[in-house]
Amino acid sequence: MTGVVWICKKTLGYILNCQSYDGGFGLSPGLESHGGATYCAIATLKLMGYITDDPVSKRPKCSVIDLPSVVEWSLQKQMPNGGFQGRANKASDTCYSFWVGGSLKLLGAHHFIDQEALRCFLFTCQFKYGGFSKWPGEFPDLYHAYYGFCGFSLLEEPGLAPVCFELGITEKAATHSLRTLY
Amino acid sequence: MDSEDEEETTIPLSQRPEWSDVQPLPQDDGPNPVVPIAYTDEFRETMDYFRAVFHKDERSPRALDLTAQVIRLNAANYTVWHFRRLILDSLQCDLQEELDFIDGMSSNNYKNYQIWHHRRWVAEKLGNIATTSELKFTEKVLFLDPKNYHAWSHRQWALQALGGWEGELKFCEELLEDDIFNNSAWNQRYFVITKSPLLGGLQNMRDSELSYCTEAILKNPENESPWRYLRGLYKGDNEAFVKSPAISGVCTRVLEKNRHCVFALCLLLDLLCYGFQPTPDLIEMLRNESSSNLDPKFSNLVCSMLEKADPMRGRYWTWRRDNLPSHVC
Repeated sequence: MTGVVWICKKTLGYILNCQSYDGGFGLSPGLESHGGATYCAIATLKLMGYITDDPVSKRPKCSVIDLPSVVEWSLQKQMPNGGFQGRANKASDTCYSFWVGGSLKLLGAHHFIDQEALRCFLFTCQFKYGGFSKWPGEFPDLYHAYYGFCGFSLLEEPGLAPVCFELGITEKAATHSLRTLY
Repeated sequence: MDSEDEEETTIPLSQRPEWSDVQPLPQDDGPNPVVPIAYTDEFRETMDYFRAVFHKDERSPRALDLTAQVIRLNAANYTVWHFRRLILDSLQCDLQEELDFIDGMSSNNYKNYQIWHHRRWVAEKLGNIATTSELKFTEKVLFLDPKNYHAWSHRQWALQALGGWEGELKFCEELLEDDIFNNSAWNQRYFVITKSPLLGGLQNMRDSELSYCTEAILKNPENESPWRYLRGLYKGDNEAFVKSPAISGVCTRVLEKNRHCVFALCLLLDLLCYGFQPTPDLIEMLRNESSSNLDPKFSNLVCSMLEKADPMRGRYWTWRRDNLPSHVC
């Protein structure tokens, strides 16, 4: 077995152990399901090739994790105010538009998101002089601004570049990086 | 070793005789630094002296004190924490005292990754004598912030590495009494019933846990946590899940009071997908609610009710309806 294959297998094993009883993923086995951890799990599986697009059903296939329950967990994280929370019974936060929204995109389930509601929520988090904060009424920061933009890109907001969700950068940047590497 | 002398901290390092042999090493920002940070004089000087001892790899008591000063200025500087650990090892320092130091650094820093990592490193070296202190410390943090992810992570690590499981279920119960919506506490409860060496495992605990979460569900049916917990009790055992009268019982009891409870309908849909046969009473109860729905398939009715009760995820419930397993009634 080559080194890379061995690393992938070990990583896969760890990730599988991180899927919680409620379908989401925690940062370590046994820890609470969290939007950020779920994104890292799904994106890693996508990058390693364990989640593949099925051209027939146009839906990603993954036989190693419990796909239906992570999809349902993720969708359940969209709150009445339209934003996504990172954990059950916590407040919604701009950045989870990317972590959870992005996970759903990678799982081919982003069209189940209430897009109009998410859009409304994101606008409430936009600061009057630009940028985004985690919640409405707070001062913005680069991190929430970046992921707010990614959220809008997920919603295919006109004028925004498409994002490569498993890397968290634009498709253009991702393609450029690959070309530079090889 | 790290005792604070008020007067000492105000005297610049360059003027202290005990540092006179050291040539401070300035930060190399290169010839044209972009967006250079406007450090305070105190910060710049402390870092210059740190760089000097770091590059000399001086593992001395004064270097240890210096790492404490740097940490006070920037507790996220992981290079300094790493060097501090090297010094602690070389000088064979008392690690109980180090725990006291960490305690002192912790307030206002309960979400600092470096402090928690350092604490784990120290506790791991101390072993079982740290069991009580680690459970007490995380308890203190969780009292202030009952969902602090770092604290829960440290607590789970401590239980598995150092033990102390005896009071853990009670601990979860107390937190849930404070806030039945605390998903972290529910998660910890699941962790305890599955991993504790004292409770006999999930199968052994299932019945009592069923009662516990049923009670929580009935008190607040809109609380997602106990519903997920309930489902989790049957993870990997779908046969028992479908056959359990308690599970269908909870759904029925909740739906009797509120036909629009999304979590109850969702759990019912889950049951149906695994072959559950609803009673005539249950079927009639839901058909009466949705009299316009004449679809003979009960599962289709449940999906329609979900589309209405949970319009935000309406498209998802429609998709579920269109992708039901063929055997579902």
